[in-house]
Amino acid sequence: MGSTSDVSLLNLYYFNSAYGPREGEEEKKVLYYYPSQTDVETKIKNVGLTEAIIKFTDTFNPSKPCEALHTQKTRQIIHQAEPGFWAVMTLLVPTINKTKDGQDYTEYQNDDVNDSVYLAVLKQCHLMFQLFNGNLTCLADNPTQIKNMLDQFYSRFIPTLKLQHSDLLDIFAGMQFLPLDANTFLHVQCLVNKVEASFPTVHSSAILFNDQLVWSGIDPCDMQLIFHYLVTNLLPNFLETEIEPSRPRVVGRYVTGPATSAVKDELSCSSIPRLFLSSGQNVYLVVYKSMNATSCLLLDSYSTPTPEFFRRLDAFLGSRLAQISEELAASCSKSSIQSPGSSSLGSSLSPDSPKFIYYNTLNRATKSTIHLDGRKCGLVSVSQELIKLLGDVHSDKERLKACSEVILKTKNDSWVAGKFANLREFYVVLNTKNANLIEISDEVKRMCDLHLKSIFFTD
Amino acid sequence: MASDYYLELSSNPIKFEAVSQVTNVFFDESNKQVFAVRSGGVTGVVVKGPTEELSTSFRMEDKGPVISIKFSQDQRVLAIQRSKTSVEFLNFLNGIDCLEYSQSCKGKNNTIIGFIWTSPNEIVFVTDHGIELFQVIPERRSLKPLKNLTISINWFVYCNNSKLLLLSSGAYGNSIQPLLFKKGGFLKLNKFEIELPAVPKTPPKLCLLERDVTLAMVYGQACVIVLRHIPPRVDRGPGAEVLIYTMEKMLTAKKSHLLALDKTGRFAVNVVDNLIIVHHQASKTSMIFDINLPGETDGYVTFHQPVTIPLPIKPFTLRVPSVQVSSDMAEVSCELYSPNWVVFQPDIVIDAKLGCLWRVELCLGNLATVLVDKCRLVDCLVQRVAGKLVLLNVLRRLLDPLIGTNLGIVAEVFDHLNEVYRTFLEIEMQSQMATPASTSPFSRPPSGPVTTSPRAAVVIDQSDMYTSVFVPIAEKAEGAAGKFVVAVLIEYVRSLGDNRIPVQHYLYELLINTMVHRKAFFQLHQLLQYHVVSDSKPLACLLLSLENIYPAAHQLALDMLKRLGTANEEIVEVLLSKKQILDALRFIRGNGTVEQASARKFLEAARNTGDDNIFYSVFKFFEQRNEQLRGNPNFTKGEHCDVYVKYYEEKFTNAGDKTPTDMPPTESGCFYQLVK
Repeated sequence: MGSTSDVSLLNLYYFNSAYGPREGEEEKKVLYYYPSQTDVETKIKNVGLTEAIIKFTDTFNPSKPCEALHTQKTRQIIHQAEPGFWAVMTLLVPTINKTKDGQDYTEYQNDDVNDSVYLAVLKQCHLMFQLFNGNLTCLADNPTQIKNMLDQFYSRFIPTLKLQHSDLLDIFAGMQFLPLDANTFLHVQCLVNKVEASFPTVHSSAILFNDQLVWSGIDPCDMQLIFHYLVTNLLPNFLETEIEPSRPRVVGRYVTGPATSAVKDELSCSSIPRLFLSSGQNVYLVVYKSMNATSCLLLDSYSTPTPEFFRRLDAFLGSRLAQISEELAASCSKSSIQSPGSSSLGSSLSPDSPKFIYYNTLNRATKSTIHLDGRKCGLVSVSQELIKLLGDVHSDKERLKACSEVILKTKNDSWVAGKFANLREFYVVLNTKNANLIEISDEVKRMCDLHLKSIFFTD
Repeated sequence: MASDYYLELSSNPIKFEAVSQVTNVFFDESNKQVFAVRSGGVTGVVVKGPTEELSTSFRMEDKGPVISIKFSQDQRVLAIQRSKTSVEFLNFLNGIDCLEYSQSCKGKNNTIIGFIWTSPNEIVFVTDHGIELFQVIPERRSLKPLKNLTISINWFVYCNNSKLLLLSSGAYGNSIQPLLFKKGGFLKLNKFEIELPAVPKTPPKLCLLERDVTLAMVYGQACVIVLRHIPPRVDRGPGAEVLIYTMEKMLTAKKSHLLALDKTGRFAVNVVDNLIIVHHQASKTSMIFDINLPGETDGYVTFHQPVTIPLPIKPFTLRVPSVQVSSDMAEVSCELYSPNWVVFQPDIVIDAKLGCLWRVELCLGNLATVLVDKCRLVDCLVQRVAGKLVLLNVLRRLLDPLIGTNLGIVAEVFDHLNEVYRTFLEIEMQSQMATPASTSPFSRPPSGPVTTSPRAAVVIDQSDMYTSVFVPIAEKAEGAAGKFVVAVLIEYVRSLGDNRIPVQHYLYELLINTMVHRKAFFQLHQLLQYHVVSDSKPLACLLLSLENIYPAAHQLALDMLKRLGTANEEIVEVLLSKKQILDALRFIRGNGTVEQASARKFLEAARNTGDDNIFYSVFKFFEQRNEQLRGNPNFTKGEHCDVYVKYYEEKFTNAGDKTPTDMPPTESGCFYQLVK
């Protein structure tokens, strides 16, 4: 077996044809280009090619612009981020170096790159950009500022892209909800209400426990983005600073906002991220963590939060959030004891047990026993090949009716099933050797009964 | 200001002839009767009681000054004490019987301190050397000794409600012997000593006086309420206090509560609706204490502060005939806390000079405005007989969205209310489950949380909260106020849940409607997702109706119908109405109700889709079913499917057999691989 390469980013660029309508002004169209050291000539050439593809395909289907360009070695994903503004991402297709008849050659794994997955990644990139910077359309007459903002955002964001671990979950971009009993949930809800009532500048808020969402009063479109920002970026980074031994032990700490020990410091309050919500509102994002519970507060931005505010909030939240955290932990351990047959971590670790991914389009809830955490670190319990297959099943689903079922068998005797009903998607991976279709169908049904017993999911 | 008081005197006092040179006035605590004895009875004895039956008047011979006079509880015998050694009796069987009969105390040198009717025909003499119990036999005009007890006695206190008699003995008077009277006898309870604030060295003298000791029933327990005048000390200012001993299980007295008065001077104690009221003469104010409210405790004794600030009793005006114009009535304001006041248990105040007997009453509405701490207020009101309306008013004001009370306080108030509510439900349940078998003497007392707090007088249940509090405040919920109302409702549901009380569906409906009104759909979705709201068909229907404004409500409704397990019909209807005919078929196949399914309904829905493929599939499905059910594919007459059979024939059989092929929807163009 020769060396292999994973899918990787070749380039990522933004352009708007309106900025350079005349010949010789092509450079002005390019708003952002990664890698930045690329020479102008290449930039113009690539942008021009994409423009041409878009124009050309437009004649065939004007209602749906071109989304992907397949070549042997690359895959280009094209997304009109905002009217006139195009975001383009080119990926290098993964390869395997093989030897045949004594001759080395490279085999390009074109089938391993799923358009839907990477289109979703590109869309997510731009949504994330919008969350922190607002719409490009609003700044349309100031290309310099657009360039600066895109540069500032993507220079930090591109390193966090984990393209090789992108999969079906990126398409969903869902949120993991913490399974919880009603009473504990109400306790969380009541805490949220108290915070919002005591601090009227809090516009809305959400509570997370570890990497799972417990409650959100934030608009789901925004929450989805904030959730991913928190889980894949902010909280893991914070965790690293938290385990530094030099830090004093305190009940709760600000993840964004001032470090609790320095709340007295006026300057430390100025570095709070500002977000642009889909409603057009502009808010501050304050994230506060106590034990394993995280409170994510959106503050109205008409006044900058004062150190006094942070002190009061800290005093109010610290112990209360810690208490909720303990309660949540107790509730979680209780529920995992009560249902040993369900997806407790232990059973999902063994490679042969059935795994599933669940997604509900309506509330964007996802649950996966294939992914061991929500942080997109490639910690998965089934082979990459099967995960890619799941993406393909999803792409296929687009052509099926609202309520349908797909079952596939792989070369190495694994089974992949997808069921779609009532705006929900349920994917199952089974490693049952020598099984037949009926057995697999029954097993899928059994898993539906086990995991989806409380919802309407037609057979 | 209207709220300058929280106590008032009853509006129609019992009027009697005032004390004068010729008239003596006596009060019998047991029967609540005032006796105005004129000239030793010759010119008349006027008896005024709380009712007509207990009021009378008569004349009797003057046989010397009366020391004490009391009717038996059935009003058949009148006992009069005129000497230190004997008591005379008069029968009132049918009008007054002029023949008196007399009973002397047994001990030769004994002096009668007083006498008490302990039952309709039993009387006890308390002498300085013991007590003597007699049975009165009016028919024979004689008494029969029943039982006696020798003990040196300084003074005594009796409470007719508990039939408890406290005898003071010992040199300081603080050694107390309680006796519990039963028919035909009495029980000697455990003797106890009342703590004295300071004991004089020499010579021993009576330190604990009768006027400082009150015996009353508080929260169903007999309490010995002792006023203690603490001499000023270095470490604290002067101030009297009230020490309370409760009679546990009617056996042993235990020091249990200490009420801080922080004042000195003359005090008097009343008990109204289980509140201990301490009147202070010097400041002309009264304090109220609720020993059920939580206070600091050292493990044995609970220390109480007054429920709220001391305030005077509401001014009282008496209507008296005017001096100038005889037909007119003049209003005369009475002096409150006058030196002529005598206080009796449990709630009686007598002004002997004025000739008035009042009951002390609570003005809970005013108490509610004076008491700032809302949790204490709620705790206090749930124990008051007339607390319910006041409490509901308080809650309505507290939860007014325009006031925006701190949710922390709201939460605490709900928890207090629901704790009472839960206790009430538990007692209800136990009384329902108590079958004769389990009440046998061998059965253990019902297990469960032993609540020390007494059974509350007021229970505010969910329907009270709903109709009297939540609905009115929800009507005010506009804009930002809606958020508060939702928070309050959730807090209430949370509190019910914490107390393991099942939540009624109308609360959920109100909650959901308020959330819908606020367009807080995502939040509502999460509530349903975590099953905070219990499933029900009406709720599912409500959700279905919301589909137009919140599409996900449709999915939530279907989930709920599925969980109910009894709503398969409804699920089919919903699916058919959404033109999800095949889903509906799969559903009935899945739950095995194909045989009962109405083919007409399905065929109608299928035809309405306008999709021939679907109609064909559904038609064939039911033909197959008929085949299995009856052996032939035809529909029976009762199924009314002729129309559809005809439609089928028109569409698919007339022009040859053109079975529709299940072609996948055509994909556009050759660029599919390259461009999608």
